Amino acid sequence: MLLDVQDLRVERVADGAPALAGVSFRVVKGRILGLVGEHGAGKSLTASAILGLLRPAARVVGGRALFEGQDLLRMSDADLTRLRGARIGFVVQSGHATLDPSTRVGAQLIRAMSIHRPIVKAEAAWRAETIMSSMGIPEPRQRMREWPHELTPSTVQRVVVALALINEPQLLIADEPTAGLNITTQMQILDLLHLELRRRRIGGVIITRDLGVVAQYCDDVAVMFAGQVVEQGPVAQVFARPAHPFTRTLIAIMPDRLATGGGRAYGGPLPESGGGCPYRPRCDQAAERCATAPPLVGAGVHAARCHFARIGAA
Amino acid sequence: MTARAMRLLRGLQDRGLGVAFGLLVLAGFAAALMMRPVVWPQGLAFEDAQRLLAFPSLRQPMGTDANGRDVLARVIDGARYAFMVPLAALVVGIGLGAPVGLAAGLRGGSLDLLLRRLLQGVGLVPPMLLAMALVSAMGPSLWHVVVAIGLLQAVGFARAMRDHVRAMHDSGFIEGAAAIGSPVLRTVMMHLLPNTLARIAGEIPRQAAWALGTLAAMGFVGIATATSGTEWGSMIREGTEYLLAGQWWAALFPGLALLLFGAALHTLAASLDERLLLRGPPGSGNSAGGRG
Amino acid sequence: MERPGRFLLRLLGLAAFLILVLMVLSFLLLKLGAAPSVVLLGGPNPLPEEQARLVADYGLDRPVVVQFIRYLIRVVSFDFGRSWLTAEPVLTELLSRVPATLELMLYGLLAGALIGVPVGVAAAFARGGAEDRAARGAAILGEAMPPFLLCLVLLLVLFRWLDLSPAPTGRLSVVLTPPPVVTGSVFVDAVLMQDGIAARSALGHLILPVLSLALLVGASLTLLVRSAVLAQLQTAHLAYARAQGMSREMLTGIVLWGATPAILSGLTAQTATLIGTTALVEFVFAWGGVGQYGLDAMAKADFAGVQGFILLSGLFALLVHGFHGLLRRLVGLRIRRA
Repeated sequence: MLLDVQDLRVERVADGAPALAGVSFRVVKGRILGLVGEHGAGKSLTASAILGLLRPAARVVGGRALFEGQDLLRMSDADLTRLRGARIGFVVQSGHATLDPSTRVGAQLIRAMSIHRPIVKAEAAWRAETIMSSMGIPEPRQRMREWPHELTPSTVQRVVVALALINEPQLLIADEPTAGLNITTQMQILDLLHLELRRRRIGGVIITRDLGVVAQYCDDVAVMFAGQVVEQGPVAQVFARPAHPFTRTLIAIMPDRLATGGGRAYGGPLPESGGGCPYRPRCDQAAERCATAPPLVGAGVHAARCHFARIGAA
Repeated sequence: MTARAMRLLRGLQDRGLGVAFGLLVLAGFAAALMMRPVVWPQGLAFEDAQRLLAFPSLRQPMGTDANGRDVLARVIDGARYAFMVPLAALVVGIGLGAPVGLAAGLRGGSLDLLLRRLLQGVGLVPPMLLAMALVSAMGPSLWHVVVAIGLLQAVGFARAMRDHVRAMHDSGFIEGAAAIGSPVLRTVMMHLLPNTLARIAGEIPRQAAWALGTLAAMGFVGIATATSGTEWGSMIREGTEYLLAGQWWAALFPGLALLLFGAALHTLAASLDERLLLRGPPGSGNSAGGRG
Repeated sequence: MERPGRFLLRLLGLAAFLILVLMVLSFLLLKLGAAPSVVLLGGPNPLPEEQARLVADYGLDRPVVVQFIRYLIRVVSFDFGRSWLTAEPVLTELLSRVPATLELMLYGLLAGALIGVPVGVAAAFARGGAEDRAARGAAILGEAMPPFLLCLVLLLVLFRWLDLSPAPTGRLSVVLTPPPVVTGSVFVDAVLMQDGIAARSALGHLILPVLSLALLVGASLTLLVRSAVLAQLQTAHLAYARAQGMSREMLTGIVLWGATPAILSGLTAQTATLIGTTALVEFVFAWGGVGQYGLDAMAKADFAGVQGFILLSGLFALLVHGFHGLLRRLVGLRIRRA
């Protein structure tokens, strides 16, 4: 097991409001986990919390995140810094806004290597060029001399993937890696990610709002809602027999995804805070007992948080 | 609950304290200024020939100057200028600068360009020096000081107003309003001005502080000799030679008053900025501020 | 990006226009004067032949426009008139005092940056903590402090009470002879001449004025640097840099480099107006620079001097802004667009 997140809790510093109310999931080496949920469900926050990159406005107040035997949440910033970019790669969304605008692309790749280990400039340059070419970037040597704002969005995102993989990490976390890209480019980038993860036989987490992406590229899925993971399991099983109402809604509207942009499952009444099931305001199955926190009903790798969940049932 | 309360208190303290401090100090000066003639009518003119340059004592808490006059009374009286001059100069500055900036911003085109270049040229000279040169030319009366400082501030206000109006114009806001039939003037009065006001609210105390500093500099250098009564800068000038000889009170106390008054204004400005401005890009300040 | 030739032409055109504005300004100063121009130019009681000369030279009996044209021609041919106080050409007097002012401004800026930048950065990183608030408080104090007051306080403490600093008699002790002028800086020239006594005296005389300027500049810089760095700390690419595993030192470097354009802009604005603050400092310490000269001229209504000084200040600011613009262009490729 590559990454084992147990009951991660994050709250807002200003007023103690919970942002993540107990997130748990597992990433297995060689498999890709899709972390899916609507806007505000806490997906990016989870990634930030695990990597120790929370903004000052939020803080971790409970749980564990075990990676290679160590709890990331308890590690010092110095140790975490050594892991980031080296053992754990991070693919960020909107690369054009996040790449360092004042450094050339090649220099950034070289820098990403040299901050983690001493490396000869020539070798670094060669590695950078090689990885760019394996990312499908044409004329890599030319691209290396350019500035981020001179690249097309597709190339930018490939560079971001390259930056994440260049130090051969064991785990890759991709936070909505295709946000803001057109459909064709989206597919290209996702294909690239998928290919690289498979080729290197490492574990990955793809954070997305699009269940279709999960269906196509991931092995496992964790569905998030209102700061919790409400269902998780192998993609095949969860899609065949979804146990949580939210998951069912997501799957139901999937064919319409292209038409409505996936909007229909999202939105609606705000999730309920307090002790009960957060999905209650939207759930058509809600009953009296949903006022209390639903238990984790699970059989092996497939589990869901719902009073009415029946794993394996039709 | 206690932790939350503490956090709230700290937040309030951070914001409220600045404004409170600024207003309190200014109110203190105003109160002292108004009460002195009542409490201590002869304190100003009385020249105690027996106690020239006396060290601060119970009777004369800030000592006496070279003419035997009580320093405390004179410092309090000097607050007159600290209130009057910046205020009057602001009136001149906004009164002249805002309409000009408004007109240029609305009209656009070559008038706007000309104004911008003119302001740019004038803005090259450090505003304080230009104001001093103006007073030196026009004559050392208080009114000239007000006009000179006001003119320099008008440059800044004109530019700020013009920029703001232009931004609103470019964003189509004014056109949009006109398209639905709203007369331009009405748009200006009801939407533009309150908006601008919120943005420059923090700048006003800052400009007042600058005006005060410039006035004091004029008094110190000896340009505005007509105000040499109890204006703090002039008091410092008169007391300088004694300060260098070790008798510091005649020069230092007016200086402290200057510093306190100015700090109050700056604190007020900073607090207003924090409250009214969203955390946007730095440096929305402009006009005749800064050190010059 | 437009061709460099075209850009330069546009810049020169703008500069020419601005210089014209400056000249109109300094000309108007004379005309706005309460006293007639003969008095302003010739002193309180000019002799009849002196008056006649002034009228003839400046065309004071002609219409204003003609007078302005004459003024323009004079300035362009480097004739800034004569001071009635010293009977010397104003341009000569100004130029001879420029080194003193430059020296003071240079040291003041450097020392101010040494204070302001670290404090500003630390304040930004501390963000709301005690250090941040202390730094902001100190910065406000620095902004509200009248320059001449700071000089006087420092003189009182370090000269009068602690006897650590010499009297405010300019750049050198009055009993010593200054070394022959090579660079214009008394201290450097003394060192070059291996005149130890003069060098030590010059150094001692430098300390207080430079310290005053440094504290004032540092205060303004602190606020400036703080907001520039804060803006950088909130950018997306900094968060990403952290995700890549960069150490604190590297991140600080990135933040500083990203904050540099904003800091440079602010520094430029500061420098352009630094003449004003420096003038006051020069005035207190009798430094012998252009600022003191200008302020003296204003106090005594020596208008040729005032005009020349104002023109010079404006030109200096123009140079500073122009230099900054050029710098930005050159480094422009490195600095992001949008």
